Amino acid sequence: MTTEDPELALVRQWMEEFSALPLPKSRLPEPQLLWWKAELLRRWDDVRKALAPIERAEPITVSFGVIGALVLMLTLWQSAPGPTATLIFATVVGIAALVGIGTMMVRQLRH
Amino acid sequence: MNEASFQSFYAATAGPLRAYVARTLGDFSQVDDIVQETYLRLLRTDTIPDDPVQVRKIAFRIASNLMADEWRRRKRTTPQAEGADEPGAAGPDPALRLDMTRVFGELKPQQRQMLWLSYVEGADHREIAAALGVREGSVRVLLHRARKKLASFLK
Repeated sequence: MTTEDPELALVRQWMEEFSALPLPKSRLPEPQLLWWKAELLRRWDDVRKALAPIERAEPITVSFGVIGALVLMLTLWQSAPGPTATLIFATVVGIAALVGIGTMMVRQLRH
Repeated sequence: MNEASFQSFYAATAGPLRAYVARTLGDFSQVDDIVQETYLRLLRTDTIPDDPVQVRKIAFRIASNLMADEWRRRKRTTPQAEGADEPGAAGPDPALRLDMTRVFGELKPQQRQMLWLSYVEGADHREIAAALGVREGSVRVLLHRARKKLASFLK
């Protein structure tokens, strides 16, 4: 029969007594509440996961839109007479700026 | 895991988990928040094992990580006194209770976690390594040091 190291026995006994000390009163919520809170968080996680590809694609679609607008503007500018070209330029740039600002505002509101 | 099995799991683990967090954190202000967050994170994991023993191990690992985050946060902000008073704790000898809490508070956070998991939870080296995110080979040495240090305080 082997005897336990006295140091080990001292620590073991002390830990037993320490773990038996009472704790302050618990403020933990009921398990039902925790379950439903976790359920809600899980649903939010699912929504965020579903929206993630759309959010990732958003800058790409906006970039395509702006590039398309610039190409259209250049094409029309070359074919249109002087005063009309300036009007087209101002309109296309204005629309592109509005789309850009609108996209940024929507993103900020989401986050 | 369904709601009923969670309720029985909660009933079986809330006390031990709370004691682990309270005693190793050394300050009672954050205990219930950390325990609550532990359960919420556990329920949000993608796959929860059917075996309650495994789930219990996961819960202790999550709580250990949350405590480590809390210690890191405290290091960045104002250092708080550890081994604080235990408001509301009922017991026959408040002085003894405070002394034991102070002695345990003298140890490093990881040493407190190791000693608790080993002596109170009965975890083996592999389980301690998994709970604290350290190598299994290191646990033997670290636990030995923790034990030596605690014994030196007690002698």
